[in-house]
Amino acid sequence: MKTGDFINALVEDQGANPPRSGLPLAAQLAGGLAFSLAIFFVFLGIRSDFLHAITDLHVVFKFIAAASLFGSLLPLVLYAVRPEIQLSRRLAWLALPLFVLVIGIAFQLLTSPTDYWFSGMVGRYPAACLRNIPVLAMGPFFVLLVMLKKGAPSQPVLSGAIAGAASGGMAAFIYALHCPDDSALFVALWYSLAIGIVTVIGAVVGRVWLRW
Amino acid sequence: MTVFDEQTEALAVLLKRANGGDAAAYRLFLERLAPLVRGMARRGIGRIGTPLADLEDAVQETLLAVHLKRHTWQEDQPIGPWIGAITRYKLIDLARKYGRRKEIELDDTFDLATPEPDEPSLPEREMDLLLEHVSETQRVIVRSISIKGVSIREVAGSMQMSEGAVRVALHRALKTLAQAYRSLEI
Repeated sequence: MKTGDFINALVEDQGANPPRSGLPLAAQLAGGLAFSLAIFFVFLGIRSDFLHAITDLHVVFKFIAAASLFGSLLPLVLYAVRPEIQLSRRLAWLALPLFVLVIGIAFQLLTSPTDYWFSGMVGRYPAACLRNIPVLAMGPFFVLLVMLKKGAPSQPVLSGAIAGAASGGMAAFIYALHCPDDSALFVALWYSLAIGIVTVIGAVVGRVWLRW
Repeated sequence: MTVFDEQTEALAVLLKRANGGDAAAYRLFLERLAPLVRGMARRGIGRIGTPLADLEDAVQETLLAVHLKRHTWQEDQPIGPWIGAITRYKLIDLARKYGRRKEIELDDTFDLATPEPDEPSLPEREMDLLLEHVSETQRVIVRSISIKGVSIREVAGSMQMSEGAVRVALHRALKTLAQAYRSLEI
């Protein structure tokens, strides 16, 4: 088929199927988060001592760490739908959550006795953390990947990984409402691992599904 | 201002008008985009070392990708880098078919590529091969509209289908063609 002929088909399709812009990211994410919150309240629920616990800086740290992660990654997802943006050049934003994590760990080490370090890191419910964060990530994960699929990510694997890590961060924020393990060392180890799982899943989905 | 900048600036104006529903502007956009993409693709194919016989196929695949992803261009952004990125992405697809996995740095060379207005006398067989992947009805629709240059309305009349059904079938066919190109081994 000649290129000039093929253009006829594209022009005809342009008139018949004009591009539609979907809902803004915030509205879509709200839907995904509502799904995850529903799972959270049905199966987990907020910890019973929440009002007391939230006065502890170690607990506050969990929310700040999670928020800094998804806060720095969500703009990257918006960039990822545009093919001309070099994502790898914008990964420097990840320094922010890393910085928060280091501060949190330092604070933990300074404020707890040495013999609590290890037991705090292992915590009481590491397996629950590894299971619940990926499950809670499903809502935003789905929304972000569908958004990327409609876009034109020129780095599909990296884009999928970023979407995974961002949803993992949002899930970690929700899970922190429930999780009774408050050591920053626990967060650094198990939360990171759990988010890492979602990140890897995102990369794999990106590789097989996000190409265009 | 380079030739590339001038050309892409004109393309930006055309695509804006096309997105506003101007079919003539969209035709002009694609007709002016093709030579630019052809120049970039020739340069890219030279870099990755795949057969030049694939040139016009790569041009058509890039036009199709630009078409299916045209909503991802933000009208306040320059269009040149966006076109370059899509062309580069499609050339990486082409390199992958030949088992060349190495990352290709093409961006910087695109500005220097000379636009090629004329379709080369190379076999552009791929699109016809890919059309085997869509349904019989879709194939007839795509062939009628492209080769015979008839409109959706005329196709609907001759095939005794509703215009809406032809519209959907055309769009599905184009999406399937893009998908088949990704998975097709040469």
